Amino acid sequence: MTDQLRTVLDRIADDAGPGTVDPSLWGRARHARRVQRRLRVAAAAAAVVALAGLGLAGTGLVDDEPPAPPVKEQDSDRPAVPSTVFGVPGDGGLDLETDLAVGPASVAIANGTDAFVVTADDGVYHRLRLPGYDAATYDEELRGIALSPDGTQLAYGFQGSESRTGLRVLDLTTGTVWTERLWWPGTDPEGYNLHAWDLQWSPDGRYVGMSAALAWVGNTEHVYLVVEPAARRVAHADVRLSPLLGEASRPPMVSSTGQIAAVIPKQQGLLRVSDVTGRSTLGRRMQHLWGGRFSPDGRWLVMSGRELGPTVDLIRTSAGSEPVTAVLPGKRYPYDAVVDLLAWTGERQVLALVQPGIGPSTASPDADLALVTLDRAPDDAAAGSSLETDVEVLGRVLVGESRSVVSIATDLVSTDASTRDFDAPPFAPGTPSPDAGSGSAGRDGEAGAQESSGGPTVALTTLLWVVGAVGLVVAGVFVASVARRTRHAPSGAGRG
Amino acid sequence: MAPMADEPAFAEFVVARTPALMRTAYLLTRDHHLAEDLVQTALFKAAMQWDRVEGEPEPYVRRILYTENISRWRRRRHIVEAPASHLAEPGAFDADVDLKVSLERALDCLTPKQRTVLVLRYYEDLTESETARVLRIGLGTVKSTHRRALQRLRTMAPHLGELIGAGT
Repeated sequence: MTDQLRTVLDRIADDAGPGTVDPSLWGRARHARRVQRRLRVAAAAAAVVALAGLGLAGTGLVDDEPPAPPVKEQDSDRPAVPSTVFGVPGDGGLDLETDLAVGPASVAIANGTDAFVVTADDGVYHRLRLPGYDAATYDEELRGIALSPDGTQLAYGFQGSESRTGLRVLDLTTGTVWTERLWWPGTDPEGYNLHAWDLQWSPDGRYVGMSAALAWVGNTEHVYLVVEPAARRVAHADVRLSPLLGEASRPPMVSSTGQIAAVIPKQQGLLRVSDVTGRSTLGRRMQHLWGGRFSPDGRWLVMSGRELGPTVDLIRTSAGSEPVTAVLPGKRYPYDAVVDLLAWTGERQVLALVQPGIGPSTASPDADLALVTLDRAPDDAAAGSSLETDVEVLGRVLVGESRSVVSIATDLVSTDASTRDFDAPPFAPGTPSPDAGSGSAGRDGEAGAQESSGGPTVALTTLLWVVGAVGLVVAGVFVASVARRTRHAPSGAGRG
Repeated sequence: MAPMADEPAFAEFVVARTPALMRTAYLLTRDHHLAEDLVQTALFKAAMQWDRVEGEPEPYVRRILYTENISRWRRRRHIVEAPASHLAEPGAFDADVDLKVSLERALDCLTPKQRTVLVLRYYEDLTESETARVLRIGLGTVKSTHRRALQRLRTMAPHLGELIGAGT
């Protein structure tokens, strides 16, 4: 078997052709290497200066405690999204739960190993045994789960026995699961099963839009579907949106009226919006855009690309006019950002996960849960114009190396634009082991027994903290200047 | 071999080994342009670390090639893998066509991860343990990916049974 297979593979490889390599590749790579080194040196310098300043503050020169971080005023009983969401590494050391009635959730997480939800009342992470959920199918960024805006329902793609596939919706309050088998429109349900992914709830939580592809031909054939869980039906299927061969499919967007929209690489990046009758209502070339969200009234789409960029686009769905561009604040995101749009929370406000750029071509894996406010409503902006934005960071999503994908119950954030501090889960980096609890209590006791000497020592502490902070700022400015100088340098192979 | 920090050594490596890298990349991607892109990316990353490469650089470059192929698919969601053998049914590939063509079509139906494991096992002749080490994944993952890949090949092209084994 091995020899014969190798021989045939050899014959296939004969078709490869010689291949060409960009002559400037060496120069570009070495340039990138130099930039990388400078950034590392600068970061190390920043750390040293900061640690020196802060370390002095922590010595016996002073005996008062450093100032505590400001505590947000919050309603401790209110269901909310945690101010810090942690990606889950592996199974997170959590028990697999078969009672799925865990209650409304604020966050759902998939990491290629399992599916998790964070309950909205207490911020506790639950590892769920979802019937038919094949975590490996939805590894990495293939979004196989989506939490409804109100956090009560979890939609996920399933693969059951006898290769049956489709969509399931779990009611997190009752633990009941509703199943909608999916197959290629107009064909035999036994032979043309569809895998679903890139699930997205409409702003009002009525519809679930998704990409789907035939399960057994390497996802060649592609369809966009809209399912209405409450009515137990497939509301709309659009088979015209298949991506170009070799191109990634782009996630669909679904409106509260069941419209579905997607950028179609095969048609030169045509943005198509079609309603539940299949009537196409918009066609405009938006090759640079990846996905986004409908506004609650369905009149606007906010969309972003997949690479680092300084803007998001606002597109009126009723006309093929030029999009309005919203520019992210450069001070907060000097190296641009990758923006994953979550929901409109007002006429001028959009909730998003924003991964800041940390270099000319690299985004942080961690994201800000950010409220982006436009300087005016898109209805008041001329086609093709630019809007300034202000960003309020409501929380952080710390994915790290966990490869987690998160889905957020946006209603919980949009009602009062806030998050809530919960205890960190046991797998969170830096979380003390259970044994450390008594130590913590002891420290509290000691702290209570201590008395601040006040007066000059407080002034000295403040001075040292300032030294540390200034060191950080100076080093940060240096990092920024180095990176800015190299910002337009060619980067990344394979583009040459 | 002493560390090679110079451009001529890199250029020499590129000239000598690009055709072989292209062959592997073509098997991994099944597309000329993607293969060229993949090779360039691997060479770019290798060039960045060239002064730190100890010994022969080719294993290092190849490791980048394999892992980049998988991670690139993950990053860009390369859902669409197959050429337009539209709506081919399982077992539909004609038993009379050339084995090479049949295998090409069947390979197109695999995920990049499955294809990478098969290429490493049968083209590069690595053991399962070596494959796991190169891809930096678990041995169990290699075994299951390998098994699923062969299962899919058998489903798509049963007449390749002799080539890929009857399987279990």
